[in-house]
Amino acid sequence: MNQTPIHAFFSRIASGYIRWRETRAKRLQESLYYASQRKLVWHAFNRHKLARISLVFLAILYFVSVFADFFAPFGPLKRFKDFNDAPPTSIHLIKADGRLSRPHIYETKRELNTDTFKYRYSEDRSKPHSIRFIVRTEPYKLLGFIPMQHKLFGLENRQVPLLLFGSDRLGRDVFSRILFAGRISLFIGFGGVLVAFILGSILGGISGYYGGVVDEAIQRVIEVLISVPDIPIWIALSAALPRDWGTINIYFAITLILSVRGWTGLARVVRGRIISLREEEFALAAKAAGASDRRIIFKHLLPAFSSYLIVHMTLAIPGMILGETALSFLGLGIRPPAVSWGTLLQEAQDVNVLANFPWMLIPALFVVGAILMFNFVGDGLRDAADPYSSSR
Amino acid sequence: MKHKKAKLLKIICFFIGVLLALVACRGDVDNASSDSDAETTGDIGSTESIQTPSKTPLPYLPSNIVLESDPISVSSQKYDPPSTYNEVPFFADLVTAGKLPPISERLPREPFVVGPGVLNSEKWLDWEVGDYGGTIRTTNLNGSMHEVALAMGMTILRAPDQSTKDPLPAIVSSYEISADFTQYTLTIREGIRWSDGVLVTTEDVRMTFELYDDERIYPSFPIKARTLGRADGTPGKLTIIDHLTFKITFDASYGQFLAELSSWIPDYTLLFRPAHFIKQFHADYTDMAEIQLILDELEMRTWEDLVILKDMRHWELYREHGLGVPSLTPWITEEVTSSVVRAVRNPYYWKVDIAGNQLPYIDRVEAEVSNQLQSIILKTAAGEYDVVTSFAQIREMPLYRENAERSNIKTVLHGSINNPPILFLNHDYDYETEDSVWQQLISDPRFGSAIASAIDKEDVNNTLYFGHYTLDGFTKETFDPEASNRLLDEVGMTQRDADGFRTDPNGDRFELTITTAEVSPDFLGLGELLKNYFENVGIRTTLDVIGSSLFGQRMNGNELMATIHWSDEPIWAPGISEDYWPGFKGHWAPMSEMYFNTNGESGRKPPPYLQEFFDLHVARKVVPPQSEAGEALYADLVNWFSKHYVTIWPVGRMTVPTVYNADLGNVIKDGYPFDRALDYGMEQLFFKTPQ
Repeated sequence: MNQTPIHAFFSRIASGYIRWRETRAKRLQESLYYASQRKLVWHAFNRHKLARISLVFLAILYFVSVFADFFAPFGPLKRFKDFNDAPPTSIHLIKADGRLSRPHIYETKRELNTDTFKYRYSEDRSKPHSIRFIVRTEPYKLLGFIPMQHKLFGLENRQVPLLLFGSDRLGRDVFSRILFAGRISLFIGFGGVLVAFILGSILGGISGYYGGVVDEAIQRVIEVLISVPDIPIWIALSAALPRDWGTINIYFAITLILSVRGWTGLARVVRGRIISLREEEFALAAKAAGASDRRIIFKHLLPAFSSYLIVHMTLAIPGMILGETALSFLGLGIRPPAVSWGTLLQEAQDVNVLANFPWMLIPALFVVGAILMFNFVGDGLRDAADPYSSSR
Repeated sequence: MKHKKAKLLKIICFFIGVLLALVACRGDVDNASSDSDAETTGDIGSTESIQTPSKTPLPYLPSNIVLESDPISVSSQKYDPPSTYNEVPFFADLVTAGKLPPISERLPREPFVVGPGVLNSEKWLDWEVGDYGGTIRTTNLNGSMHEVALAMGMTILRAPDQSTKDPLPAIVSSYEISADFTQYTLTIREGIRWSDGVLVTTEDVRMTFELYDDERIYPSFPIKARTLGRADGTPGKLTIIDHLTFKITFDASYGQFLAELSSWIPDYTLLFRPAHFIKQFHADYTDMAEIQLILDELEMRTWEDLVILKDMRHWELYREHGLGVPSLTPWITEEVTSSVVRAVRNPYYWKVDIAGNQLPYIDRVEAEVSNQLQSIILKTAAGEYDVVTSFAQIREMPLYRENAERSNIKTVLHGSINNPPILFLNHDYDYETEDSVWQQLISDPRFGSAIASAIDKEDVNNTLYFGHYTLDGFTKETFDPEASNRLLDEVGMTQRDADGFRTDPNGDRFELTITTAEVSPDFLGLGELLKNYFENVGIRTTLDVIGSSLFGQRMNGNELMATIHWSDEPIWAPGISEDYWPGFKGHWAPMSEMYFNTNGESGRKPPPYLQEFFDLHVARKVVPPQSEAGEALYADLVNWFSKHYVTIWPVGRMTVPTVYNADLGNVIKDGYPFDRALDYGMEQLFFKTPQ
């Protein structure tokens, strides 16, 4: 074969790359022999692209929600008078003279057409406002204690509405409200799952390990709980909440309400696993060696299916988020002026919104997105944590 | 042994389960029940059961009110009856078959003539003669049926629009009122018939009063037929003069009775019940053996229960048990199912138009029972109803205007008999606590004024109502946070707490709790706005949104500090509604009201400024509400409301749309001051093109 120098150069690079890949794979293969379980799971999880991307997005979502004070251009209750039901502000990149410039908006005026009862918005091209990053604002306290004076982005004139996702019926910025609402909606999942997890693993563990009357009692309670339809039991419990408790307490009470049902599924699985594991040789050996019940449960049995528990938790969080959304949507959970994705959607349950103000439904996208991402992450974790998975 | 234990455990667990389920379901039911009964039509029933010894204390009349009047006597109509009448095509076959008498024999000797300015004043309706035929499709929420109730609402006297001033005789052909408003002499329209063809006579009135007097049927005599409309007033005394003329005598001046005779709330059933029909079920008139047959069929126990079932007020006529009950309404119920109520024209209806057509023009009315407001709105926009009066709100205007052409609908914008949600401050809250801070604040008008001037009326109007509501109302304050802050300082709320909110005059935490049941979508929006305004002047405010049934319970328990609710202010002046009453819609002095109703046996002895209200209220009953003296008294009442801040008005009067089939004729004009014109005048509607 007649090789030109260029050909030779490229084939050298190609073969070098192939060699590099081979050695890398070999090294990886070798490392697998002495990798810890955690590392193995992480490695398998990393191969699940969708899960990895979802995890990153979720992390961003949580981060932004926690620091909503900084990321949201306005507070959740800040109203723009005369800008109720306003559509998203259009952001321009090209100035009136046709040149590219930094993102800016124009001041808008609106007029009511008394015939169609629709507002007509007109931009005043002579009054541009640039969107600035790290813009100086009125002082506030990040997370309630860090004094701050800047927000991630916004206009210098704080009275001009910059409404990324439009405004609601009282003229409040939907984008900011979504971020603040995430604080409750995203974390109610954690709270609920945590309580459900503790209850589920302890009661399931006791039930499976000891058996007998205790097992019977716990299992019957579970049966009763899962036989009651969700919505009525939520209604009953949330009707019992004193209304003068304040948002934070109500929020915790709702987490508890959600976890009343949440622990039952987990408890059943834990019980099943414990029943099968306690007959395994390693458990019997520990027993023969005189280990206490507690030691057997926590040191020998639990770790044997901890990966399952983690997966279960990840998959349970979206259930809790949906639970809160459903409760608030029905007007039983968090009530305005507190904001959660559920209350935002409750305000949008109106034919008018569908017909004329569709941007008020954007919170639904966040709910769907967050839940999908949790499901992907859970999916990835399950594949990764399952020692018999074929993908390994 | 172990097996047995397990079984016992299972049983116990099962019972716990059932119990839990029951608790859960109860919560569900409580939540689902709405307060539809608290609506206008149910108002009379709520106060009827109070029993008190009969004695009528003379009301105190303010010195500026002169009780001087000539006897009133009205026996004419606005238009003379036409000489000939046109047979209704709907009945033509029946008439030719001889199953129904011809029109001239079905109508009274001199029917009530409807023309321009009779049902609605000429300013608001260019009345025209219509054509027979067609079906009106309408709807209602959860079977409340107010639309049909109004379409069926036939008053004994009738003044145009929502007025009770100088009414024309309607069911009666003439009425006379003595100069002191104690004697009402009425003559029934000669030849007027029940919907089954039987003539209406004074026997029907006598029967009605007999039932009222009968403790087996009525636990107590209805208050609207008692002197001064009070629970402790002596029942009106009925004197039958001949088969058409009767006289009702009260032992003190009761001018308000003229309004009751012209109001669609008590309606014709206040005085007229079909005696021939009720007697069939009454043991004093019919052999018990015959009644027993009916009782067995209906699986009822006593004849009293049967009479109570069959003797009904007009708002029961379109219920299932109202089928076949003779009435004086334009349509009679023909079918009642859980999803629809159908009514067909009454062959013996007693009104005609100036051209000699028997009313109503429309043959049938069909009211669909909806249980979702949103679905009503969608179907309205799609043109599936011909008349939608109370469910359309101004917020949906873009939707209706956008679909106008496609769905062949039109919208007319007008006022309302209701007013927008107002804030009620409870002047009886916490009254039992000694040195109550709330009592100290609320009895000081400066506090109320501070609250009123903290509200940005214009902002409320623009945000919630397209700027189409008025900005008047009983509180005249304009938006002035500075004045509000100054007044709050003056009443002693000078200190601020750690959160920057004002403390009460003693320096303790102060919180204004506003409670509302989300009856209408704008309640919540208004609540959030109010919270915003009040916190702006330093009053810590909590908004508490609860279910309607819980709202009712807490309201009756005097547990609510401030509430948001609508009322019926536009029809307070004509005396049709009395919803300013301290414990009706929102509440502002429920315990003082109890004291008044029970003659001081329980409740709170009103402090002097609240007593002033009760005095005015009683005095108003002495004269007809729209007489000169009545209007002066109402002005005093409004003045009292403005002075004492029991109600705070974020906006004044409403503008609401009625959505109707573009083909309908005799529809009121834009700007009509009330609503309900298309149902409370449905008999004059007609389709311009035959259906």
